[in-house]
Amino acid sequence: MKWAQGLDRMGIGLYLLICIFAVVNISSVDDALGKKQLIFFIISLVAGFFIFITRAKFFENMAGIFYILGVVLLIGLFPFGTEILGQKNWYKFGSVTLQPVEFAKIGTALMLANYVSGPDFNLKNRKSLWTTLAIIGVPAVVVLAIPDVGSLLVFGAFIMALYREGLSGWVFTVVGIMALVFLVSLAVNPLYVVAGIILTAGLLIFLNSTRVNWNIISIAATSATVLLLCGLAYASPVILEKMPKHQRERIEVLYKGEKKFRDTSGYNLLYSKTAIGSGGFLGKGYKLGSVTQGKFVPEQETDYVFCTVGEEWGFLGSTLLILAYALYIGRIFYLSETQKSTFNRVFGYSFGGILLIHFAINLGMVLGLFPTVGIPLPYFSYGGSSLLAFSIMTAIFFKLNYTDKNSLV
Amino acid sequence: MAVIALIFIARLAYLQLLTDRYALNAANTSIKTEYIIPQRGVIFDRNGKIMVGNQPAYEISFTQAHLTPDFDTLGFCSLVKISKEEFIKTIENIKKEKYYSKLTPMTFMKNLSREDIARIQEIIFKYPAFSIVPRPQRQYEINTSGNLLGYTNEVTQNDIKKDSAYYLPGDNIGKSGIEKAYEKELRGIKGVRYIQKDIKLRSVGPYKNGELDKEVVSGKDITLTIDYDLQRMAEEMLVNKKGAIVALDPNTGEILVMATGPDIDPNVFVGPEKTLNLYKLQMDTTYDWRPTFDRSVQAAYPPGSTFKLLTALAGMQMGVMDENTVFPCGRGFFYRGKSIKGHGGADPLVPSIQVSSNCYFTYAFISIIKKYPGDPSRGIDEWKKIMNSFGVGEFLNNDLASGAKGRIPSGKFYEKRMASILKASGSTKDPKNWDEMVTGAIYNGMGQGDVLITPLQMANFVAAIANEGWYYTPHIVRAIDGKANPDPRFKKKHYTLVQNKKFYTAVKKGMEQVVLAGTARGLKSADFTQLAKTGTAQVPQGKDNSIFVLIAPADKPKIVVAAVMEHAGFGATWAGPASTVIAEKYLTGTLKREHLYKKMTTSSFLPEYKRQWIADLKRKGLYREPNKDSLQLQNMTDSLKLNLSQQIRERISVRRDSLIMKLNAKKR
Repeated sequence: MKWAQGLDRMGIGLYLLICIFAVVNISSVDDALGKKQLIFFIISLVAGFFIFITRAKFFENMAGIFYILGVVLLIGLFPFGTEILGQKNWYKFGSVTLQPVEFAKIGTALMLANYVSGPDFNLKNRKSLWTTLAIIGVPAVVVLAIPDVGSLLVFGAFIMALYREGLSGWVFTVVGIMALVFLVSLAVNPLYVVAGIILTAGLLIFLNSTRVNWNIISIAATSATVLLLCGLAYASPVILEKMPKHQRERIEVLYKGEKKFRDTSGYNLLYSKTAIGSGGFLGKGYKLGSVTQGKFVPEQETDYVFCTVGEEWGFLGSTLLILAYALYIGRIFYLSETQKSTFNRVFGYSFGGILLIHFAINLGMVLGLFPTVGIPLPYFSYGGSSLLAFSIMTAIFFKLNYTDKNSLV
Repeated sequence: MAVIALIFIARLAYLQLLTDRYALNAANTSIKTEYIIPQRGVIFDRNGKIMVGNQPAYEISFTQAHLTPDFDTLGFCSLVKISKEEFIKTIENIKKEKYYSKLTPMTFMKNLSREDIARIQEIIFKYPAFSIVPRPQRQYEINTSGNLLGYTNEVTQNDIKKDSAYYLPGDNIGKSGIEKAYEKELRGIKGVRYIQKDIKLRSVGPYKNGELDKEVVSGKDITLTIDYDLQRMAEEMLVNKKGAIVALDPNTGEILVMATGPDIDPNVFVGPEKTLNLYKLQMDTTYDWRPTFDRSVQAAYPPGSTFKLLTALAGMQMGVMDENTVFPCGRGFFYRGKSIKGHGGADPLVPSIQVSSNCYFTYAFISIIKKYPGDPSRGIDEWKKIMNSFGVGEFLNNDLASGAKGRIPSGKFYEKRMASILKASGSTKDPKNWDEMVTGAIYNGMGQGDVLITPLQMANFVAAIANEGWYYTPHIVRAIDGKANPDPRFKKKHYTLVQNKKFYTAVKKGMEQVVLAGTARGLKSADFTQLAKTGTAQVPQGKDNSIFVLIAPADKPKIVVAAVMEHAGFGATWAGPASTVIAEKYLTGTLKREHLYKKMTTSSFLPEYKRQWIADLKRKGLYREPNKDSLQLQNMTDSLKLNLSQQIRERISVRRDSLIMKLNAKKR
């Protein structure tokens, strides 16, 4: 079929596979929710169809409108939002609830792509840099004010897209080193961490001794960096102490084991691990997961939905699902790289980055490798807003890709 | 991307494949396993009389993991009627148990009455950490034979280790007797119900629709070979005596009677005082009383003159004598400066058995030792082989929980003894050429010396004589669940190494003379014929052991009896009457010779045991002269053990209690 040329079968196939498995899986937890998820899925497909028949340029041209709409919706939460599970990030219209942050991500991705693909964009240029940061920063600040830490992390995905467009890798290096120092000094005596920092710094200086041009500025900068990191090492237990109790425990539980916090933060983790760990190689079978069916894991249809896969489908099913996600996200990055237009590429990288961060943080949390942060597993967690927003983004991406592959340029 | 996926898959592999911590946690918290304890099999005697049955009993179990933070301690305490302190202490003790785990239901209270349970049952749902466990208890329909039946008790960690697939903490297991030997048959199969629980530990229905559940299967009923009427009689005749009476059906090897004195009332094995009672039984060692020592199978006695029967058979089989052989016993036994009193005549075998001539059988045994000149060990080993073929000196390999090997010495045994004697005297003679005089081996022929036999083995060798050369392994269980005991060990005839009927005829003739005109002539019965042999074994502690073996009726044996009474005296006076009374009751169904029975049930050897006990203490330098009060108290306690009339017993016990109170008051 001629019209199907340029449609990415692998990407769309994986999308459909994951969504259908999600419906099946949610039905195992609760039949009624499964039916609702199926309806959301059908709505998403319909939305996807309409996006496909829309001209691709429409999204590029209307990016500003989408962006402003997204930000307005976010700000509107303060007067009109409804609080669900302790977070005021929902709109409620009768029985329909909507999570605007999911849609704000689309607007931001489009806006960012639009701006970056503009003729006078240059990251080396201060004005460009600041404008870019503002585009990401405005919704991020609003999200932080809600506060919705999980979604804030997702905005990090845009930095990944910018990295592809020439943003210095230092951002990641600095953030990475600081996070490492912070986490390590929680686990071991800060004195050892300080020793480690000084040793590493010394080693680096020694290895680069011929290349470094020693003057007052470079010496001061080096000393300041080392001092800063040492200070962080000593400060991190204090920072942890000062954090709100539930956030502190979410970090502590990773070090001290979930049994210690059995009745508070550790509970979710213990039972999520219990559910997954009891699955064995082949799993207990569909609708036969005793932990799932006993509803031991709170939010097991949303953020902790992977538990059910682990318990009922075992190591085999879980691994296949993880591989499906890895292939899917990898495919999106690969396709983004092959785009001819900058707009498509930036949007694709943003989209892939958002998926990656969601996937990594959600599974990291469920498997007990990352502190508890409430963000859903894309396509897989129960929830209309999330599925619809991700599906819209998916449809836009594949539409852009479709147009790109069929363009003559 | 690939790195992240790999990390996640590795983590999954760890959680799901490499550690079972979480799988266990899931099983323990989300699925509640309920066990239904089966009824233990009923134990019948050979005539279908119930000896041991079951009664309902309930326990309350405690599971720490299900304890909610809002647990109402006071409410619960008042429900089960204990104080808060008791509650805290019990929980503390439970937590100290070796196999304690937060998720295992641990026994919190035992032996609750049905009324208590009815009351508690309605409210216990409020306390999910506690639940009611029905655990049937043994009910004894008889009040003797405690050692034979044995008892059940909570499993120890060792028991669990041995069969961890079945036993859980709190389960009962047979600890001795039939209960132990037939544990696998009696225990049945526990029922299992898996119940899916939700987060609040409420049951939401059977897990997997109950397809994994297992039905409870009651234990198998066991029919013993014991005839309880006879058993009871034997036990009554053993009151205030240490000893044993064993009776067998020689045609089948079935044990009809296996009584031991002192006896245990099995009812002490149940009820709230159980642990204390078991401790008391273990500690009852005064007069070397030791009621838990089953003398019928665990005690190895010198068989005394009853052993002469085997000496005669072995001598004839080895060709060193025949029934007409006469040894020089005219004026007694004089052999290398040693003398043993004779019985006034140089006679052949039959009259020698009749009068139980020590001289004759000592000579006979010397001939056995000297069969191979210069090689006494060879003669002794040949003799030992013949003895072992009669089931003595070896384990019987049967279905009893305990037993003893006894002892039939070998050539090596005497070579070792000779070697140590030679070493002590500094001589360099060859111990291989040992001296039956010096080593004391000559006394074996008359059942003294180094020969030791359990009462059950004694009955068994007599059965082999009754059958003239074969026996079935004596066993205690006749049928399991109504079907004949399938154990192949009890269907195989064991042939002795003596197969010449002539030898048996001679020995039996001697045994017949024992009853008609010999040492047991006082035990003749008009209703049935008997073959017997008395035994009076000398023992170092004091008075002789009274021993008796009997076959009846003479022509077609239906029962053999062996009896041992420690420190009672002459064989025909004590063990004899007990044996013949058992045979009479079994063969005729009634008891005409009431006087013999009465003599046995009203006699006591406690004074002799007491004398020995005191002598032993004095020897060890532990004896202290008792004061008047405690002496009186001990006398009263002893007399309570006698078979006295109820009235007198009550009077004595009232006097004893007032004396105890007086003594206690003095102490304060």
